[in-house]
Amino acid sequence: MTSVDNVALGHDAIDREQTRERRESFSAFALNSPAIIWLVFMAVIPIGWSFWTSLHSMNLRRPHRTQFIGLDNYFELLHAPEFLNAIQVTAVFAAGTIAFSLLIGLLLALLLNEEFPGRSLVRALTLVPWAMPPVVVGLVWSWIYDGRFGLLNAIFKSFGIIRESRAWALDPDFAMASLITAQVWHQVPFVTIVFLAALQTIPDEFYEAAKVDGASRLSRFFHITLPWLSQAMLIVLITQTMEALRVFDLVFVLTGGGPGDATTVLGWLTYTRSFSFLDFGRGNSYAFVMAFMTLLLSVFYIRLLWKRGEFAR
Amino acid sequence: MRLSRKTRLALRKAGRNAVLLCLAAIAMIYLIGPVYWMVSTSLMTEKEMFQVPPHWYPHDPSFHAYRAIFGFNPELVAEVNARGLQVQNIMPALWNSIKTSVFVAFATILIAIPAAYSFARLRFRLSLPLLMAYMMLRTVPSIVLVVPVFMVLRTIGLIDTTASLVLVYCTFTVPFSIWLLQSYFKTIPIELEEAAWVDGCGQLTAAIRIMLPLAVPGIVATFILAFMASWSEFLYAVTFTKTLNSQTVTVIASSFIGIEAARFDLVLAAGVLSSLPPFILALIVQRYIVAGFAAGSLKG
Repeated sequence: MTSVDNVALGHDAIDREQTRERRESFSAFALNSPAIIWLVFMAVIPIGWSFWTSLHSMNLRRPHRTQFIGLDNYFELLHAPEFLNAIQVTAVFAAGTIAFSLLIGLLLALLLNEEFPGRSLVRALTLVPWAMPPVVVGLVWSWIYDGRFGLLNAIFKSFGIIRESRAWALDPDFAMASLITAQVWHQVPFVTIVFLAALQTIPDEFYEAAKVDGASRLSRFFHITLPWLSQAMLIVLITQTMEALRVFDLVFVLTGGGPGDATTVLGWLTYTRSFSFLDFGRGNSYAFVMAFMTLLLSVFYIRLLWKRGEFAR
Repeated sequence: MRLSRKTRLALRKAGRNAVLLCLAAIAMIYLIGPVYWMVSTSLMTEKEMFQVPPHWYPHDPSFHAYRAIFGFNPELVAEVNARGLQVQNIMPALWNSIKTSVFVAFATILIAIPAAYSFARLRFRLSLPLLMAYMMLRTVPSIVLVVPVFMVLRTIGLIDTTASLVLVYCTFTVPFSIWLLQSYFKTIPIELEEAAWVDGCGQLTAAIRIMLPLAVPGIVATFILAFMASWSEFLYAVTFTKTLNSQTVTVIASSFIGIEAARFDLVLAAGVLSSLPPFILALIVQRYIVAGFAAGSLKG
């Protein structure tokens, strides 16, 4: 309602409008209440409880020794080698998956943006790695990485790249690369589709104008296509960082966080702290650090979607 | 002269197509290769699976792995389990997965439809903040919730039940479904409902009689996406389930893999069975997945 409308409507109409709004607010909350109740009980309260637990020293092996220790768990984090290591491992994992999924996804999107016979079939099949349950992605890749009979060993040997077979996912030098390769394969479809959707909105006139100006194919790509994709790239950047923070299934099946702690990402550390060592106080402080990082990322993400008009009516 | 120009153009087009098709073939090998390798290995005999160099396709395809995991070959299962594996009949787990995913999908759309309607058709002050809050909840990693929810479920005695999975899966299916549905509802023109209001039809009746039938495609797609998300879930399932009473197919498939005596024919047969429903469903709702990705409402 604008003020001009209010003047034009007169008092009766304003009253009617206000009751209408009150009624609609009431119905809106009634309609949202099942979702709100469900989410408050199964998500909001648990997250709050998780924070509360993280303020305690609490190990289920010694339940009676639970004690309120304030932010001590968090101060300890800064000196805990396992936490600092996990941060580093997660950063490497995130950087690796982002770099490669961005590159491969962009190339695939550029290909799918061209017209050729069978394009719609290729586009449909692009979704296949995404649709595969992540656990199964892990199982397939652990067979490909197998130390004796794996496909990767066979391919590398036939090209003369390696002489001796190795168990790629369990090798200290290659465990992280193996994990990244599997994650990138699973994420590429999403990245491709996001880029493809952005590519398809580039107006043809841009390219035609550039052609008239005598711009080369390469300079058209760098001056029109890439800048146009900047928002899509931000979306990929944020969502892929979130995915790197939440990765679990692949680590569980492929590396188990090893060898040593070479692939112990933050999520895996949180999980083993809580469920293998039953150190729920420490585990929850890790979980809360992750929740906080995700929250920051999602604020950026929502701002970005807002700018793109995804919230518009 | 004219003809030769035509031929030149045709040749150029054929050349361009050839290059693009080659690139597409490389892309397909990358994207589909591992899937092909999974299916192919699941059809190989034990002897063939352990060939060096590997056979590129099963020379002597057999369904022994599928027979074994469906319980038709107890001898083989007993033999591999004696070597330290934990292979078991996959039927109960498949049934658990179906049950869980159907319940989740139904609960999700029942909760999400009214909420989505409020965003598409009603004006209220908290509409935008609420929609953003749902969006934020969607991005919370499961690992953050798994510990506290585990404590809650243990307290109310729901560990190792299908119900516990349904309760917790809705925490991620409901937010993205509200998001998808509200954007779908907004594409349905309001004029038809307005006409019904003028004819003395209540807003609720108009919504149910006029908007809902028009929204069926969007609702079906949302149902399928919720089903897929809950079918593929692993972290909650492996934490909250202990026995075949509630273990889902992803949990069982991951338990087949042993440290030493891995039988990848059996593991990957289970893999094929767990991937088949999501593959088929993804092809059916392809269009919505693409739209959902583009709008940022589905997770990566």
